[in-house]
Amino acid sequence: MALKPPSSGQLISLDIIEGRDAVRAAKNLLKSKPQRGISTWDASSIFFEMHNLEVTERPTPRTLILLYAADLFFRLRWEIIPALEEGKCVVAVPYIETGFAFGNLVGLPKTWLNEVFRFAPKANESFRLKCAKDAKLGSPTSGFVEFCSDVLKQDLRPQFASYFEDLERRGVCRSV
Amino acid sequence: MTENAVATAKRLSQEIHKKGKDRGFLIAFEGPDGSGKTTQRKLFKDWLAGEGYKVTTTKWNSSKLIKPIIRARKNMRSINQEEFCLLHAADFRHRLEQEILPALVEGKMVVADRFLFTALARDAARGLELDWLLHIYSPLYWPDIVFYFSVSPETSGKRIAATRTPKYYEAGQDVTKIDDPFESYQRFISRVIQEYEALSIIFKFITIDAEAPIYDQHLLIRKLFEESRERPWPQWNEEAIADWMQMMPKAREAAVGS
Repeated sequence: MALKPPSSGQLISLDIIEGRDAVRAAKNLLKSKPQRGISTWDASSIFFEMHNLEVTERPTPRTLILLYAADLFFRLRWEIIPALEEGKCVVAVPYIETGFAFGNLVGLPKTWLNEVFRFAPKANESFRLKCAKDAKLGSPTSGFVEFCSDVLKQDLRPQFASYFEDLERRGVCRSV
Repeated sequence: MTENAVATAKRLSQEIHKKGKDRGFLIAFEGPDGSGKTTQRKLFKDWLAGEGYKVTTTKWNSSKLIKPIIRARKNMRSINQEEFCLLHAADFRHRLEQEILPALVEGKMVVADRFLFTALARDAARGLELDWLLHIYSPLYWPDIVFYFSVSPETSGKRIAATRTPKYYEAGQDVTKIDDPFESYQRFISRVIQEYEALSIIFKFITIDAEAPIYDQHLLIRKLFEESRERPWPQWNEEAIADWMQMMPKAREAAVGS
């Protein structure tokens, strides 16, 4: 079930709480790399299309995770793995930890999340982006955290930030 | 899972159980394309309504929220097996939470034109592991009855060919890589039927001979349904109810208030 990453290239995961920071932060991480690629959230446009549908129903957290996984699979298939095959250093921003963070904060079982994201190869290095806490929440289509905040009608950034801080404390990722 | 959701789910489960045959009932119609299950589902639904039951129908891949997303990608032929699976699982979860469970809690008859077994059969036929699929669809909510409409691959192929050219994903061209949709359909539906046959044993489907006369099938379904009305509510669905209450606080409020 797991996608086999090519032996070439390097996969870096970067999890963020402000979608608007994604590209700039990824570029900073890649400064010294000659061959580079960036894969950002919603490359498949699933969330953008869903946001623009004129329906009143809202997805529940479990549905959101399944959609996040579908988008991530699309990114791996079309962006991340092809770039790795070319020997590039690719920053996936965000990556699986964002899915785990959301699942954790809404109480989804870790075993279920592990299974859903079983296909995703492990990153060679993992980072989180520290950012200012008082910035205004971006639009729902600017990032997954913003999208989920909009759906659940609650600013989820502090909870995501606290999850990523904990990962850093446990040595799972470093901050940039 | 929060204690509150678990406790409420337990209470609700006991209440459903106590209702006996007046409780909501989920009846799934499963089978390959061309097996006539939609015809039977409609006949059955009309009969149920005539008998005075409140009936809700749910169809595969029909949520207002996710169906348009899947359709656009199918039209572009841009999704692979795993994305196909995850998007259908999202559509299923959404309908389960928004349509099926609320209707069952209200005591309605829910008639499902395809249920999660469609995904298990088709996705397994596309080469995905059954174990992963069961996880993706968990927590699982099991129907009270699954009618499985059994036909041979040849009959399914003939019936489809008589009405239309199978579409790209329906014909399984994404996995067979065969250009001719009819030939591809024949190859793919044979695999799907194999998977269905295996599932029908594991999950104890009630098999209906879908090559028998239409009205005979209908009468048999009515008889089997009436015989099954005394079935107790499956306790293993409690986990799915608890999950639903946790994911949808409004559902919990409605259930507590009912």
